Amino acid sequence: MKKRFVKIISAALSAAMIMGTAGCGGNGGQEAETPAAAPAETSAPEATAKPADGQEEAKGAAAGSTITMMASQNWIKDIDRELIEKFKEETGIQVKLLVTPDNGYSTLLGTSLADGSDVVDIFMYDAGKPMVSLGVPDMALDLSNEPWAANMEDWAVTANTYEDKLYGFSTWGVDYEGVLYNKTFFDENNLKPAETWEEFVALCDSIKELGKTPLYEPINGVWHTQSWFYSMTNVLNHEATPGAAEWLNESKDNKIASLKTAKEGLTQIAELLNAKDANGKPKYYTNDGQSEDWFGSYTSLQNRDTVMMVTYTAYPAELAANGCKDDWGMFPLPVAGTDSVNANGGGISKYVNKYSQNIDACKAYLEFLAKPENLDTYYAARTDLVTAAFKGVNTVKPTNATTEALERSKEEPAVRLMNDMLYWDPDLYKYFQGFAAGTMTPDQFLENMDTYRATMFDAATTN
Amino acid sequence: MVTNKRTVWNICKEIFAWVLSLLILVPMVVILFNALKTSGEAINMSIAPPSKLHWENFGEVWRVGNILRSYINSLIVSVFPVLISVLCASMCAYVLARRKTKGNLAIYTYFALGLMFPISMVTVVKVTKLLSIYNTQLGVVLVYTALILPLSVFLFYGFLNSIPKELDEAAIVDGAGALRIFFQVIFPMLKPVTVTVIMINFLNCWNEFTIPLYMLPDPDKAVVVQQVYNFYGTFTASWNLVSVTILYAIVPVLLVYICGQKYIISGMVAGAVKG
Amino acid sequence: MINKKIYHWGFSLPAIVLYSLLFILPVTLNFYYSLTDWNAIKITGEVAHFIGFDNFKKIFSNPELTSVITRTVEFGLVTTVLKNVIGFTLALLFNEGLKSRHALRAVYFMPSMLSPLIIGLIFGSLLMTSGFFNQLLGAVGLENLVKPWLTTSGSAFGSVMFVEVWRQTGFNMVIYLAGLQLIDQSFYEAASIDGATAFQKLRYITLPRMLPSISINLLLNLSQGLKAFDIVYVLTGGGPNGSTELINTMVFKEFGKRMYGMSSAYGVVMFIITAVFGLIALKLTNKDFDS
Repeated sequence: MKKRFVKIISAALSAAMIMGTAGCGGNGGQEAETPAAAPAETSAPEATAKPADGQEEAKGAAAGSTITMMASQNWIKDIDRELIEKFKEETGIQVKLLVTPDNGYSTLLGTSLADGSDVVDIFMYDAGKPMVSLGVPDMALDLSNEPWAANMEDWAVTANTYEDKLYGFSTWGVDYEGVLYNKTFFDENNLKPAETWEEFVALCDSIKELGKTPLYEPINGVWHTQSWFYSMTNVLNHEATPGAAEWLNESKDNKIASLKTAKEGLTQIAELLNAKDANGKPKYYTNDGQSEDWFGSYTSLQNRDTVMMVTYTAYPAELAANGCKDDWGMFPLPVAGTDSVNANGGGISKYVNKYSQNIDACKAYLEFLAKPENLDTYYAARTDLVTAAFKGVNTVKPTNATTEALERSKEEPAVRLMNDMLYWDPDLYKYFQGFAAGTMTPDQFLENMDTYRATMFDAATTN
Repeated sequence: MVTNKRTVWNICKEIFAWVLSLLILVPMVVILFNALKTSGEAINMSIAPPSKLHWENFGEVWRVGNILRSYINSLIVSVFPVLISVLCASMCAYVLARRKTKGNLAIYTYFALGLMFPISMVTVVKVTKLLSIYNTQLGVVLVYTALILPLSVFLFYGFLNSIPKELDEAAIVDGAGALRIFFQVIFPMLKPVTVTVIMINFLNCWNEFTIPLYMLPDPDKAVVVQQVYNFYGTFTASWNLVSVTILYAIVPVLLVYICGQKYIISGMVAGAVKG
Repeated sequence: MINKKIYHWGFSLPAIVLYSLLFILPVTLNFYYSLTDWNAIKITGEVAHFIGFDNFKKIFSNPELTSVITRTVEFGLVTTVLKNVIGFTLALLFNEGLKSRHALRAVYFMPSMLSPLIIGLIFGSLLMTSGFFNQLLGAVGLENLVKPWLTTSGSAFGSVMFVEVWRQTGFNMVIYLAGLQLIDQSFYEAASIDGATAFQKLRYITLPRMLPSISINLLLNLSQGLKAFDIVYVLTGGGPNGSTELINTMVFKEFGKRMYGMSSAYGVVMFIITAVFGLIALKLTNKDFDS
């Protein structure tokens, strides 16, 4: 037995070594060097002699090259892979996907792009202020003169522009956030959407009396509960001129703690989250799952254990995909007198690394994605997008919730504070958990936010 | 009578052990069942068997996750560090254990500290960029080797203390040189502890994903465990495909273990604890 | 003289070089950065200024620090004890006698072959309200215990420790099994003739000879437990409301915010904790090896 095992092991090991050396020599060496070697043989002359001039030849030269695109785990869908396949068939250019965990994405982006590294050719990131505060314009290629640029929607151009240069390519869309509610359930039980905070709490109480938990709230995760806070963007904009974000971005001395509406809203939110039922459990919401308790929302809403959630208007499309039959509507979260939903500012864009060895191939890929027929296929598959970033896309479908959310909004939805404000505190989720546990006050919440902003303002000036 | 009682007692123990093992088997069965469901069916990861067997999930993950390539990558970054560390650590521990000078004792402590040091990916990336081994499999192999050396040296050192020095002396009398003594006399005797070291380190390297993530941005060099992220996001997860990827990641290690189980427990690991 | 030639220093050179260059060098840099404000808020503008012990001052003025450290130590100690006690018992059980012991050993060893990331994903789903664990509780009539285990403050920490014990018990068992098989059977035979009870045999024959295995397991488990991170991160992310926050999840969170200086400083705090416990365990281990 022993001998046989030793034989097996040594056979396995030597096989692994052969594969290994093949890997190092064949894959590790050859494959890894293909991207570098190919331009050296084919397109190196153009690369040195201004690729922008020789765009036509360059496109031909790009065939056979390989580009690497980096994205967080949520951003790549089946349709992206299908279009990559189609692009390869048409042009011979291969797009390799580097899909990484969400929680380390920006760190990873940093280590991959630092020092003018060219290991990644295209990378994805949030458009708007996050793009600016991460420093994307320093390392992304100016795409202002690309043929598709004129066809992008105005909001998308704005969200992807910094100092008059267009950096991002977007096939995302604007979405809106408010309170998603189970319309079918509301109709059956004669419930009406709330327009004031008192009505909202009363609504929650009525739902509670019907034996349901009113809200699903993934409070354990790091990114969700903050939507309660930025729901007030519209009213915050009334209080600060020209708008809350612009005013806060002016200086660290413009403190968010001095905005009365912010405190008023947070006090309401804190009370709601902190309310307990007779068993000492949260009265108005429930959550479930693991570190990302967002997962629990689908089953909970689908089974009608809960009937409302603060979320985006495309969400019902995901519920429907899981087999949910109920109809869903949306109304603005009436916190601190808010009467309009807020907009997400444009979602995720693609940027080209300006140190890439394959800039022409990257440009060809974006151009390919911007073709009308490809945009149509793409948006048809992306049921989670309710608007398109390009003009003339026929396949994008708003949900009923989208239509209703916009109808119910008294004002044009403002871009949510998180996407327009510099130095958004990444620890907000802890403060909300503190609200629920009764260990955090609205004043501390706002003070912490201001402290974080001050630290970041200082760090940005010393850098 | 006594033996009878004993058998009954043993059967009880056996039943108990199997019942308790459900704690381990059930999660595995859950994975297996859900790997064969549609993503809608798998949303709860329930233990209900699949209504229809969706074997095509395996094909899809094989293709999308590029599993064959990932297997090769995983093998490269697990087998080589293990081999290099066995060689380096055994030789190093041999000298440290045999010549206990003050300096060597300090070196031993230097290695032992490695069991406690925290490691940060940004500094590792910085150093590998400096050495021009960033984004290469060689880089990951060397970093893994460095990381598993402390434990390997520690285990070899402990074991070497139990091998009588008289053996070396006999070989010296025969006129053998340093290298010959080590490789022909000592190293074969280290077999038990060697396999422990291989076992522990191989599992750690195979399952590690943070280091490849930061050090190998090239998707063609991704390891099997990383492929989970193709199907698992913060907003949506195709639990059926996640389950399939999990199975793909488990199977090779499981095979190695099943083939070597008897050897691993009775022979090899025994060496590790021989005091 | 002979010593120097036969036990040539060159033998230790490759290990020392590799270890120093790719482990100690990054670690040293890390220690240095803990004294700086190194951040990469802008990924293109990484700058580090020396700021002395400011990071540590901040860390030690964090009101949650004490509870995080206590929790980390509790996690390390409790999981170490459980893994060892259960692992040892299983080893005694599967050492001999049982017909299916080979299969059982394989089954119990299986979890330690899985990646923590994967284990986290599996248990994350099993411990949900609608997950298998609660289905089971419901089936045996314990409906009132049904809850979302990982998102309830009272049960999250216990659940995470349970998963960690689940993951590593089999490994401990294997090390103990190995130790058991080295004990000469003649000791037991002699003891039987003298009329020793099973407990006496365990106390006076088995345990003393198992000390080396115990030491190894203690050291490995302690260092693993005190540095625990991935499994906690996947299962609870440190929540709910910080109830499973460990020192290493803090390291990672600062890292994720690209506050590398601060993250390094937390790393140093973790090193000190690990070193204290590690050195105690190492002392025990060394004594056994030397004797």
